[in-house]
Amino acid sequence: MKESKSGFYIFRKIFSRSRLAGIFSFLFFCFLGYFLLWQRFQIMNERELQEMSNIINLVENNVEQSLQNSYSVALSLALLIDNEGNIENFEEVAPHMVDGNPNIDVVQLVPGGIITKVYPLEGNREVINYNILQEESLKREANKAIETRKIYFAGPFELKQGGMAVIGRLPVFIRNEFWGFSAVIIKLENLFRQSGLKKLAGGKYQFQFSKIDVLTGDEVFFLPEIKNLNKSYSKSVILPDGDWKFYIASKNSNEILFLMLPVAFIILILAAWLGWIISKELEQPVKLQELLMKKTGELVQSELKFRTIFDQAAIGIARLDSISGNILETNTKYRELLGYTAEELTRFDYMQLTHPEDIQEDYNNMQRINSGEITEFAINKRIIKKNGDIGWVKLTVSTLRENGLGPEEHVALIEDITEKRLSELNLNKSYQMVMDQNKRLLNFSFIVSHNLRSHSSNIQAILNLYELAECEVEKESYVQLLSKVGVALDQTLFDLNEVVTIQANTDLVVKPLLVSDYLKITLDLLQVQIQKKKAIIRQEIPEEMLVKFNPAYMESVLLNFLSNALRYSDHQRTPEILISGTCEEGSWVLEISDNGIGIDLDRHGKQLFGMYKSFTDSPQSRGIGLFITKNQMDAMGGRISVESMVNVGTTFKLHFK
Amino acid sequence: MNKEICVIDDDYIYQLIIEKIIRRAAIFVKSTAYRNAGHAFQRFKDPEFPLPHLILLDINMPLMDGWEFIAKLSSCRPNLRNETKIYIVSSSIATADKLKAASFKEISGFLSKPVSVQKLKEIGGKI
Repeated sequence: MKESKSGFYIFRKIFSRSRLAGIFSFLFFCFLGYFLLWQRFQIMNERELQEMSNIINLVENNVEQSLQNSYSVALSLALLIDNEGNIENFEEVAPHMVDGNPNIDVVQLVPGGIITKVYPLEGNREVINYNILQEESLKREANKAIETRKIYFAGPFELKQGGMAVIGRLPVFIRNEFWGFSAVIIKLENLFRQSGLKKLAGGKYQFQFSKIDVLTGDEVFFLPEIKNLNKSYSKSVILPDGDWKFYIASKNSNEILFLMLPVAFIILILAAWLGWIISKELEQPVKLQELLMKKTGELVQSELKFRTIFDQAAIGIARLDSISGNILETNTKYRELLGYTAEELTRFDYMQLTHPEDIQEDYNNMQRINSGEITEFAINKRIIKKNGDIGWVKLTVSTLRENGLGPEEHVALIEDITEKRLSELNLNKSYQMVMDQNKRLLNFSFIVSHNLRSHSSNIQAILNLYELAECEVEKESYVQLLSKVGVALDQTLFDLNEVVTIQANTDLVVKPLLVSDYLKITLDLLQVQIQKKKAIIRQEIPEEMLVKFNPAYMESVLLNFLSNALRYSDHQRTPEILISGTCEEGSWVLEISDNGIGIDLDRHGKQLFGMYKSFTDSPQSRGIGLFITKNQMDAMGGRISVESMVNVGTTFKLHFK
Repeated sequence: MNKEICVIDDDYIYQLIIEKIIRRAAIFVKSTAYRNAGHAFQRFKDPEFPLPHLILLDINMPLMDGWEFIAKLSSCRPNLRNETKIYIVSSSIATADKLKAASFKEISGFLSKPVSVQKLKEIGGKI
């Protein structure tokens, strides 16, 4: 799997588009370069051929010119022959012809094939009386001139008198009778000089000069320079007057090719370089794309990872707009917690989902985060769910994205702590309850020890005295004293028992009670005292005043407060007691107001409901009534508040649960 | 020496007992008793009134408790400390009460009930 993959990868790498493009562009540039080079080569070749042709033409012209001159000389010479065949004034005329004409070197008159007259004689004496028509090597060319009746240039050949030369023989006919030749000799070097070959060719070209052998018909070359005449690099001209052929050829026929070789090499290099560049250039985007793909892949992976974390997170996550507080995005848990759909949530800002009492704190923190004072905060707050339920969450807000001016987006994490919070509240409640209980128990144990100890210490003291008693009468008095302690102790134990009963009874019957009914019963019980005190009782209890309470406690509480009101009445005025019921914030409040002696709350407020705390001299005041009442109210989940003024009156308010 | 003693306590039975103990101790020529600290204060607040040599004072009493009595009396009679010896006599065995008693320079001691004849003789002897 991996191998094939890597193999494919290598294949792809080698034959990737960029590489193919590089190869093709290399080939293209090669082709283009070589095509242009080839064109150039053709042009250069043509130009060279053209040049060669021009040179040859010039050479031809020059040679023709020279031959023409020679012909003229030969003709002029022939005119020295009179009709009888006699040669006249050769010695006078010939020097003029030869010396004034650089084209020719020697002139001859050859009557009947025998060289009779030569100028200049010097250096040519050997040829006098030489019969050319008898000489095999010369006879054919000489005859050709006779046959054609035209001047014919023979040679070049080795002159008898030495040196290579060509001879133009003009056949002379007198009355249609061949007389002989008028001949002009041009030395070969002179002919070449006249043709301008050397001058024209310079060092660049080489020449060949050939003649078709009259005898054999073969082409005979006279110059050594050109060994192999390649026709494609030569230009020849045929001079019919002598059956001569001039060749011109480039000295170095491969010169152009050699000139082009470095260029060809450069083109190759250049094309390769261009191909490489193109391949690289094309590779760049491919590489970039590969990188992009890789990075994109990584990004997608990372995005996927975070998306999964975001969606699967066990806590609610939301993105918020920092300024508006609008919810931009939420995860599953967040929606689960609030009960809204993702779409619904985007229409909310965080404040709309927050419990009114917690908005301020949340808002303040958001302001602080927006001002840059803090970067994150965590609070516990209540949220309002779609179904109206209130849940507790731990909210952590931190900056997610910032621009130059400040935070742009925030991430809010909410953790459901409702249960935790509820159990916390329950725990607090339980703790408070236990603490209250503990306080009461402590108080109670203190009361018990204190009150029982007062009796026990009395007993101890009496017994000590008893032991020290000296007579029966005294002893008798101690026993009587002891019995008084017994009674008091009994009373104390009874009181304590009552308190214990209240505090220990946690599962008392609690039912809705009509306060007015119980008030009626209580007032009936107190009928005697009311009449005795001539007290005025006013009742303002609503008929519907229904409180959840234990019936016995209700009787006890009402009896206690009303009897207190009667007991601590001011003797100087008619007792007036107002009993009213009001509803405050959904809870009933029973108010018992009197115009009695009042209580100095500054001095006794703290001890008002304490056991055995009394604030009068009255022997009836044992400091137990309010203590028990308070305990009963506590047991029923209610509370008592008091307002009082000495000599004005007291108002007790019973707040029912 | 004519030693006088005063008992301020709201416990009626204790009053009866302490009266017998005082008589048994036989070192005091005069004994007074108050069941209401307020009444005692009314009598003692006049600086001209000679205070008894020894006062046995209860703490827990209705209307005016022992602490209040000392505070009020002390404000009326700045020299209270030298005029009389005040002993707290209480059935309380609470440490808090003992500590509080120690914080009053006017209080000479703290006695837990019951007070024995012996103890009374001992205290009375110091005067």
